[in-house]
Amino acid sequence: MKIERYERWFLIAVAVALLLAVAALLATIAGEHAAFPESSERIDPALISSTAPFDQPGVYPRDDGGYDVIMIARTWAFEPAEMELPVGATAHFRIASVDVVHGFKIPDTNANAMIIPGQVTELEVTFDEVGPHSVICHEYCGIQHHIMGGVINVVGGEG
Amino acid sequence: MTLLDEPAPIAPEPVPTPTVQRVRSWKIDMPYLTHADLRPVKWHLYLAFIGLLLGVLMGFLQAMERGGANLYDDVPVIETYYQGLTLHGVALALVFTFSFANSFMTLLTMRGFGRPMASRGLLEASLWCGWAGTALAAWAILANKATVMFTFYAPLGATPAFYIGAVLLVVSTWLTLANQLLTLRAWRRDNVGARIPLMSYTSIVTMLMWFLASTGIAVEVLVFLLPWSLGLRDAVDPQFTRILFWFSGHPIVYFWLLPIYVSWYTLLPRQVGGKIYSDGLTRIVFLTFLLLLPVGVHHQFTDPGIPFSSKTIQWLLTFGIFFPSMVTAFSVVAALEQGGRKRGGRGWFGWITKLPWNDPSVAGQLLAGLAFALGGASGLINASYTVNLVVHNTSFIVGHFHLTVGTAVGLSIMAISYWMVPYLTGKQLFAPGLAVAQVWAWFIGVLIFARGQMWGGIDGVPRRTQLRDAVYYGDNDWGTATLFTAVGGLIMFVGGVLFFVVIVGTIFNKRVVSETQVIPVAEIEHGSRSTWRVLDSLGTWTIIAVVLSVVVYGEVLAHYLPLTEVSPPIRPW
Ligand code: HEM
Ligand SMILES: [Cu+2]
Ligand SMILES: [Cu+2]
Repeated sequence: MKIERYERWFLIAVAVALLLAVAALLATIAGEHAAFPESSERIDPALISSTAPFDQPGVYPRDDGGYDVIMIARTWAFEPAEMELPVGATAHFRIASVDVVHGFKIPDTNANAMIIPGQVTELEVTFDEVGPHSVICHEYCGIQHHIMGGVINVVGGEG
Repeated sequence: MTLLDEPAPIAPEPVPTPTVQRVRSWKIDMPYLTHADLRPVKWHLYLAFIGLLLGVLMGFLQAMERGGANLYDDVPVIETYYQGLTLHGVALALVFTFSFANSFMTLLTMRGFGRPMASRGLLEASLWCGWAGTALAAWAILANKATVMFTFYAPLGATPAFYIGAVLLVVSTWLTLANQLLTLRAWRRDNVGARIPLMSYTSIVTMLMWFLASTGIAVEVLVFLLPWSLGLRDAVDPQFTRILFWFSGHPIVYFWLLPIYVSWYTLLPRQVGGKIYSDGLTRIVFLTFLLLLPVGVHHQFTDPGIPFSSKTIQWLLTFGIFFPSMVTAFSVVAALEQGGRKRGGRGWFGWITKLPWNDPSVAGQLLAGLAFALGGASGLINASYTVNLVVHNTSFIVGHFHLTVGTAVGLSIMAISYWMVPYLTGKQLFAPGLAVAQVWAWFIGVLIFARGQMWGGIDGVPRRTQLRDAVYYGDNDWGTATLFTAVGGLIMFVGGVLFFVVIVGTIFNKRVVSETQVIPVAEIEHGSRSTWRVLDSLGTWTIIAVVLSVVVYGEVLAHYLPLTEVSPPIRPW
């Protein structure tokens, strides 16, 4: 079967470009610690508000200088919806939904996750920029989906 | 030449037809077809138009919302942004695309094999499933009982009619495949040892690919969601139903695209005076899509319940899609260039201007191809693993798929309709000049629209959101991007309205066609003689595709199971 000479070179060039892209993307994981959200455990949405740690959502300092953020997503709010973190801090989020699927997105950071009933979404976010950051539910979750948001205030100096 | 209204028997009939032969007043290049063979093709196409019309009307409301005018309290029936958006998604992503595929793939199968479809019963059944499924789903959405988006993620619980409607729409495509396979069998009996004609081959592989792909949604709906919405099942596992959904939800984009590939590969070259580049490469491209089914997890990079290993494996497989896309870019452009040069084009780019841009069917498909180049590039960004963390579920994705399904596919369907409606109705195309303006309006509109959506998405604009009322809208600098979206969307809407002016004008045109209507079938430069025979062994390829899917998704399931069935249906709308 005939494959044009130009077409063969074209495909080889495509293959090389793709291999370079794969290498670059793997480097973002190894070098920049860009990581996907994972599920730390499974949980029954009906029992969330009575199960530790979700019975007490909030921000808790960790021994390593970071913070644990325990968060509940429900139609149509995050809990806690507002919090303050020092610049440069790494927050370890654990988020669970009590009802439908929600989203979790903080613009200008790597924070982007789905919150799915039955799973606990776990992700790490480092905040390098001072100022307020929107926390956005970016999955349709019902008629008031657009009011589901929060704010993380990143403050300067040592917090 | 046959005159209008004069009873004209349809010339040589290779198969005996039980029904009374109906009169047709214009001639087509398939004299072996009767009215009964073509009627379902036409009514599938009209159903596609209804999907497009509903979708474009909702698109107008969405664009206005972005512009700051929330019209949902003023229009009848559609009460909320999200109800309208569900209709937009279902009407366009399911009804419009599926019905066009049923129509177009049936027509080209008959043209390729040179015979009618094997079963009239299946033709009719497919048509009825399409219309009934659409009616059920539309009723559920319009009655505000299914504001769940076209992805219907559990635990959002729609009324059972919605799921039944979705199933019927999928079944209509299965029936088309069944009919194609029966026709293939009959054709093989009469043509022992012959190669499957390229046009029939590509049409069958398209439907076969989707049949295998759709098993995910079929299980999701029939085993889980439908019984659950009927109260026969208490709870489902939302992470698991998402896995099933995306098993089908990725290859559904192949299903949107491949009928257009059939046109770009086997018809468009003829429309511009070129030839199909290579029979073998075309077959390989279609088979690649059949093999690359199991990559749906790339839509779930940010899902918590899916392990890193599955995400990595399916990410790497996803990059494989780049190859058939690049072969297509090469082959289709080569065919176009050949046509342009035959028409007197010189130099590197001179052939482009010589293409028949005044033919709306050509102009529309050329612009659609251009949009696809941009859409493909943005698709590579979405698929780029960690980069997905920037764009996932933002309006960047919306920008991407209005270039791809909205324009590469949508505008091509409109462009193909410009020869197909005259072919099926015997009416002259109404206002061809307006049709050329139509395709340009859509194209310019979508460029502005997608620019706005992508720009906004990179800055964090979420998708599926009544944006101007969002609590965080004022805290972010999204104004200009949103304005682009609104303006581009309104220009697209104008393009959509013009399409309906041309099409309705054609259907009711008093002027009938005088020449024989032909499907523009292109000749092949490197024909099937040098093509590997094994490419025609569809059974073997099906088995390989199934094994690949089972292995790749087996890995996902091995990590995922057992299920966590914790969610009852919820209706937060
Ligand atoms: C007049 C033309 C159109 C306009 C103005 C338009 C506008 C929009 C907008 C603004 C959204 C995003 C809504 C949101 O995320 O909140 C959207 C979503 C969408 N559009 Fe379009 N669109 C048009 C035509 C099309 C066409 C032709 C197709 C496909 C063939 C299409 C397929 C979709 C799909 C699948 C969605 C996603 C729905 C969802 O998120 O569930 N659109 N459209
Ligand atoms: Cu939401
Ligand atoms: Cu995909």
